[in-house]
Amino acid sequence: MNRGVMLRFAVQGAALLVAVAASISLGSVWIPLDEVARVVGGGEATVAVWTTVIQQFRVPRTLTALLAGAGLGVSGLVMQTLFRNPLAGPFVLGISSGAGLGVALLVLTAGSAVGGVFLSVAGVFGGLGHAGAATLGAAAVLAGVLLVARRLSSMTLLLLLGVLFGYAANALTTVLIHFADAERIQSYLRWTFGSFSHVPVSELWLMALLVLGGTIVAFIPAHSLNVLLMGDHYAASVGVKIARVRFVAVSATALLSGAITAYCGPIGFVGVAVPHLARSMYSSSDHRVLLPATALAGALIAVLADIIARLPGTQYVLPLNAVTALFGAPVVAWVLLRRRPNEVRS
Amino acid sequence: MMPVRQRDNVLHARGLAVGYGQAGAEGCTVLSSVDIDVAAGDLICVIGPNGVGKSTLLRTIAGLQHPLAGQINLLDESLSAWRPRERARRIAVVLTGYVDTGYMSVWSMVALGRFPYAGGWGRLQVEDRHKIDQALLTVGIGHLEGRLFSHLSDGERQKVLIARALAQNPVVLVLDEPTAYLDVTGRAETMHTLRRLSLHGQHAVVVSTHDIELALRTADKLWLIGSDGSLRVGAPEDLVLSGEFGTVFRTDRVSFDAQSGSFTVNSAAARRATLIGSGLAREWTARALQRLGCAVVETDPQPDVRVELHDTRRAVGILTSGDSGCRFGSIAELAAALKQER
Repeated sequence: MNRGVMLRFAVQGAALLVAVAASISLGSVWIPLDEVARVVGGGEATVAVWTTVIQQFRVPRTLTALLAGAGLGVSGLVMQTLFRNPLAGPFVLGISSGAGLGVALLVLTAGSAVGGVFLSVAGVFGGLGHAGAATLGAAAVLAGVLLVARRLSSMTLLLLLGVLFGYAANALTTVLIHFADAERIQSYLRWTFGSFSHVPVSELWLMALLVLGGTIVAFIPAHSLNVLLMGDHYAASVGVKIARVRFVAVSATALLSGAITAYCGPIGFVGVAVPHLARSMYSSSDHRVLLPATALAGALIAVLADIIARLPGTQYVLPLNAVTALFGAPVVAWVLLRRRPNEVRS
Repeated sequence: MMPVRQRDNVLHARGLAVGYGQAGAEGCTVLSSVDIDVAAGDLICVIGPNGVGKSTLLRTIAGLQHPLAGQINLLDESLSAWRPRERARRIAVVLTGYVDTGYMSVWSMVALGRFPYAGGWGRLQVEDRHKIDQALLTVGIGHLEGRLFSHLSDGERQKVLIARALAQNPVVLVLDEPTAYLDVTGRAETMHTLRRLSLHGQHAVVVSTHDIELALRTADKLWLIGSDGSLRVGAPEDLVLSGEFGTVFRTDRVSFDAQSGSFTVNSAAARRATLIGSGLAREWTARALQRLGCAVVETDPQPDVRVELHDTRRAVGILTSGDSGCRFGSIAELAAALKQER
C-alpha cells in the first residue's frame, strides 16, 4: 500500500472524527464540544439533561449511522463487482423489498387475522416491531437468494430474479397500502423514509455484531474480486473458485443489507454512490483498498446526512432518504466529473 | 498426423468432444473425436472459419469448460484433477472480449497473473514483483507499467493481457484471437512475440487466429478446423501441399492459392490474357489482371488480351486486344484501357 493511499485514509479518518463530533454536538439543542468530550469520556455534563441526550440519543444514533453507512458502502461495492454493473447496490438482491413487505404486513394488517399470525411469528424473533418484521422479511429473501445463488451459474439471472422479486414484493405492498387506513399508511411511510434513530440502545450491539460480521465476510474475497473485474473466465483461469466467491459475497451482502434495513429502513443512494466515490477518490480498483475506503466513505456520508436530516437548531426532522439523495447526489456527481486521471502508479 | 514425441508432451487430448450442455447431447457438440498434442516449444495456430468451435476448443483445453467426452492431460495428469491454483501455474489464457477494470494500472493488471502464487490477501513477494517486471519486459511494455489499462490502445492492451498471462509462468499459453482488432503491424508484432516465447522452449503456445497468412508463416503446427467439424493437424506447409488447407477454406467466392499462399476472390474469368514480362512488375500486373477478370495464361495462341511489360519494376507497357493496342504507364491506366475494351 503506497503513501498516497495511506494519506487518503488518514484524511478520511480525520473527516469522519470531525463528523462524529459534530453529530454528537449538533441537534435540536447544541451541546458544546468540551461537554461532549466529557460525557463520551464517561463524565457528566454541566447540564444534566445533556448527559441523557448524549448517552441515550446522540451516541446511539451516530453509531447507527456509522455502522449503516459503512455496511451499505461495502455491500454496494461487492455487488457492483460481482455483477459487473455500476448501478448495482446492496438491494439488487431484493432484500429491502422483502424487508419492506415484512414491515408492510406488520404495520398495515395489524389487527386483522393475517396480521395477528404475523405478529406472533415476528415476536419470536424478539425486538417486536418494525425491526422484527423487517428482519423476518429480509431473512426470507436472504434464504431464497442464497439457495438460488448456489444453483444458478449466471449472475445476470440472479440479478434479474432479484429485480423481479422486488417488483412482486412492491406490488404486494401496494395492495396492502391500498386497503389500509391512512394512519397505518403514514406509519409504514415513516419506515420507508429511513432513520438512524430507531435502534433501541439495548439492540445496538446486535446490529453492530451483524454489520461487523458482514463486513469481515465481505473482506474475505477481496483479492479474488480484483481478478473478477476481468471477467469470470479470467478469474477461473488464475484459480479463483468463482462459486465460492459468489456465495461468500452474496452472504455478506445479505447479512449487511438485511441487518441495516431491519434497523434503519431502506436507506437508498449510499450503497450505490459510495463505491464510485471511493474509486474516484483513491483512483483504484483494488478491493483491498476500496473495501476499507467505501466503509469509511459510507460512514462519513451517513453521519453527515443524519446531521443535515435533523436540521440542527430546529425541532424539525427531514426524511433521511431525501437527504442522502438530495445532498449526496450533487456531491458524488461533482467528485466523479472532477476527476479525470491519466496516470496512476500503484 | 504428426509423430508424437511423448517426452516433450505438455498437453494432450484423446477422443475429445467439446461443446455446450450435457454430455451426449448431440446438438450441443461442436467438435468431436479430437486428438491433439502440444509439445514444449510449440507454436500452434488454430485456424478455421467462424463458428467452427475454435474458442470452445481453447476454453476446454484451458480447463475453463468441461469436455463433453474424452480425456485431456496436462503434464501426465488429468486436467480436471488439477487443483485450480495448481492448474493456473501451468496454463494461462488470453481471451477475446472487452476487459474493463476501471482504475487499474498496467502493472497491477499484470500482477493479477500472480494470483495462483499469492496468499489469500494477495501480498506480493520479491519473486512475484520480479516475475511481473520480467513479463512486462518480455512483451516489451516496461514503459507502460504506470499507465491506466483503460487508457491504452487496442494493441497495447493485448500486450498487457499477454504479459498478465506470462506472469502466471505457464507451461502452456492459450490465446483466443489475440490479433483481432489489431492493425497490420500490431498483428505481426503479437505473433512475433508469441514466436519468441515458444522458441525459448519455456512455453508452448496455442493461439487461434483469423490471420491465416501470418499463421502459415509463423506456426510450427496448425490445427485446421473445417466447417464439417473435422480437425486436421500438421505443419502449415504440409497442409498446404496436401491440399487440405485449400479444402477447408474454399467457398464459392474465395479460394486459397497455394502458389502465393494467399486467398483470391474467385471471379469468373471472362477473358484470357497472356502476360509477357518479369520481375516485381509482372507479379503485380498479374494480380491486377486477375482482379479485373482476366485469367492469366502462360501461352495461348489466341488470347483475348495480350499485355507486354517493358520494365521489371514499373507497370509500363503495351496492351493489345484483337487489332487495337495502346500504351499504359501504370496499372490504373491498364485497368481503364481494359474497361474500355469491354
